[in-house]
Amino acid sequence: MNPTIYAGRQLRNDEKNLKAIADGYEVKLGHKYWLAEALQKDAIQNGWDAGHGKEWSMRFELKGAQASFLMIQDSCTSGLNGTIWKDQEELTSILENGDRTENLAHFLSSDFSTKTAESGGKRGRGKSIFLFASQNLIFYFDSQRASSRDYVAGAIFIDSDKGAKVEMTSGDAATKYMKEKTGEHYSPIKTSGTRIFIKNPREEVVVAIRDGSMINFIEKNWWEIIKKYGAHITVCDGTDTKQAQVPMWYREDLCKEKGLEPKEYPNLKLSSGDNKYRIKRVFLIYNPMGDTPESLVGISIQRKGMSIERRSTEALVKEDGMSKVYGWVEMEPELEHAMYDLEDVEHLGFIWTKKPAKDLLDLIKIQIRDFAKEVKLIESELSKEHKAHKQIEDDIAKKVNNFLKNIGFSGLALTKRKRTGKKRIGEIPLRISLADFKLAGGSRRVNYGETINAIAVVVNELDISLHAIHRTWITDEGGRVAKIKEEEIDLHKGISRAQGWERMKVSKEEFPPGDYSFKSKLTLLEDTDKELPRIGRLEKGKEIIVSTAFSVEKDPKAQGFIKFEPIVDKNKERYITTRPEAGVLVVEYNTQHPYISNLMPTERAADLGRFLLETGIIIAFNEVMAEDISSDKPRVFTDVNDDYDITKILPRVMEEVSKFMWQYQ
Amino acid sequence: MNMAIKLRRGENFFYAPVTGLLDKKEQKRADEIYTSAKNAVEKLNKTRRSGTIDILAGWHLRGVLINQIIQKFGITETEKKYFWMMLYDVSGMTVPDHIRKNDFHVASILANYPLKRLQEIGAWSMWREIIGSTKIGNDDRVARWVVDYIVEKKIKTRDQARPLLMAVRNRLKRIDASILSSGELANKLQEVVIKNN
Repeated sequence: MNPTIYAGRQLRNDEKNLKAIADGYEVKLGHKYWLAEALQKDAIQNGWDAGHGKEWSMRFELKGAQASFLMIQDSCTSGLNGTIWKDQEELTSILENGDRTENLAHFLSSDFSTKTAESGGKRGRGKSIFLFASQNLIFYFDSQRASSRDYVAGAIFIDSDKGAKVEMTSGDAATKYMKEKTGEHYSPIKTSGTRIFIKNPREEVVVAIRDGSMINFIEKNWWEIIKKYGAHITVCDGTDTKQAQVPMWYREDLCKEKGLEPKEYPNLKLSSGDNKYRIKRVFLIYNPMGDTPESLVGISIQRKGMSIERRSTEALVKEDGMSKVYGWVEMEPELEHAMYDLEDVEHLGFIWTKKPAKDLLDLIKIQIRDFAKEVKLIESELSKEHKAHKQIEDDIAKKVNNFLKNIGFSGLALTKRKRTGKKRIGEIPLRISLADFKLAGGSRRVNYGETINAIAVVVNELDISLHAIHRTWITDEGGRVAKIKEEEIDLHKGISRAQGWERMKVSKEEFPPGDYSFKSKLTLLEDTDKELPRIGRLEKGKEIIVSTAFSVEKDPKAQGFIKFEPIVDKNKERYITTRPEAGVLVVEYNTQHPYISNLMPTERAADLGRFLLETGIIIAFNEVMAEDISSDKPRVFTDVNDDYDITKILPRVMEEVSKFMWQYQ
Repeated sequence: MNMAIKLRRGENFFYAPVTGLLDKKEQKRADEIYTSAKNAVEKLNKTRRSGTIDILAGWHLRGVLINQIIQKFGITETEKKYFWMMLYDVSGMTVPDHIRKNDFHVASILANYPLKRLQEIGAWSMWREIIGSTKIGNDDRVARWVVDYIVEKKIKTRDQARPLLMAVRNRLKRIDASILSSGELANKLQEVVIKNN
């Protein structure tokens, strides 16, 4: 006798799954109104993804004196378009095709979301949270569809067998269905869009709507679309209706009136691994009073008009008073797309250890620090006594950097330009040479009283003469021209012409302390038929430009992977800390720490050097590991990944440190 | 005559660029420019309060008002850098890092065209991206040539405009257009059209 074979779907406890999903939100949001915050975020994100023209709106409304329903409606959206299927087989076939225009089918199915980075949503989590928000684990929906102008309605609920079930109907039957289910609260939908009725919403959601928390959550999460597109979002507690506004703290004009200092850093470049991205803007605001509402403090990371998460400013830059800086970051689409892959399903955070998130965060840290210096929240230059050990710091950094360079780490990625291996411009027969540009000593630092040779030489090795303008100038960081020379020249074939300042004495009057650029430009004043590699045709208006940098009375920006810098902080937790800075990892050592303080006298310089070497290399390898973990192409810690036993990380770092320290006695 | 623009630094005012002492006449001119700009901003705010104006129309109107001021006071190219900064200040907006790439400059160029024609082609964001490009926006002649071309060819979207913009940028790469006569510049831009047809 053949054994009986049972075939069917594996039974699932969807109620339990729902609870697990809700727990994910609760843990991440961590406050008593977590469900209300999650609900508005997913509902608005669904509504916004369904099309947002000028008339777009969204409404949350408690229905009935006992709040028997919470209605959420998006208007002037696409509605639940797509096939009105007849049976399970047809539905399965629609889902398998993965057609993104089949909104109705996807709305009624679990884990079949077709949403991509172009939308805000992920894996249909919103529906789960609607369901969980009902004490009866049921919500009804109806939709006036924009494509076919017909009407559909139905429900999603957890049945007595703990499985999630759906009902769906259309046309007149749908109207009858909704009237029956929602009773006196039913009214026809006037414009295209979708509406859901959450039956017996949970108490915490009702309270959040009544006490104004819900509108605050909306303003906190969706201020960008309200600000940019005038998005109309209202919340009605059954009596009063409130419209979500842009919080005053995110309005530039009002910030200025209140005495806050806002600053926009637009269009920033971000280099991450082999990819290049752009940040639309980092907007930072300094509030000297420090009375920014708790819900808005920190840096909001925006994606698709939604605030995904807020990073504590104090944690990003470990300096006193940093909590007074807040703001937001907007990304260009390519970066949003890459970040979407690192976003959690609840839209509440990113995986910051992976690229490009890691590099984005480093860039944000740098920007905040620069801003903090501008608003004088932190000191921009160290006092003289803290420059005393500069030579030791540089020597040790050089040792570490040389070692790391050999294993492929020459600096943090961020804004660093990748070498392309193209020919140097010096090999081209018409060029400007800076071989005669010479500073005192070997470094790029120049002090007052020293002389430099600021000379640029135009070399013409072509077989023709050229008529051109030659200009040479020196500018400071802000673009102010400190010195300039310009002349119209006839550049005869085979001839070189120098321009600039020979044995120029650097004075305080001409060169305030700072970074400078020495530039030289040749602009042709006639057309020729010559074509040169990289330069192209030598025609009227064509420019050849070269530049080099130097610093006056300050050290030039560091090259290499790490550099050391002393800090002064009474905070007991600050011993050795790090921060990114334009392609370099700055290792900060706290001179107020008793252990380090003992090493500061000049006679103990050798001990300080030893200390920096021993600790610096650990920090450096820690950062190498962070880079490797975030990268698709790890170079040193190829064996360390997300699943690595965290208790083994320090010993693993020490293995690499040991190899480095082997060369010292 | 020293040309100057009145700018605010905190609670105080100063005149930029500082090219020597200003006489009363020069200072009066700078003050009048400032007042005209403030009045223009107020006029615009009133129009916006009436609630009938879209973003492109708003910036077009700004451009018209700006051009009236430029023409009335004969604001020079040297002064313009500071003039844009002043406009940001009186409008209560943050000055962008690269002041030459600014919305007021874009508006000033667009104001030379009928609003309706611009609206037929694209939104403010498209125009902003087109003229905001450094190579195009830095020379009014290039910007006007690009806008003329887009209007004439009825290019409707940013994506459609991109190949043209890229070709213009590439053609003018490493070229100082400011030393070219209008005829020489037009010839170079014409090469872009021939190459792309």
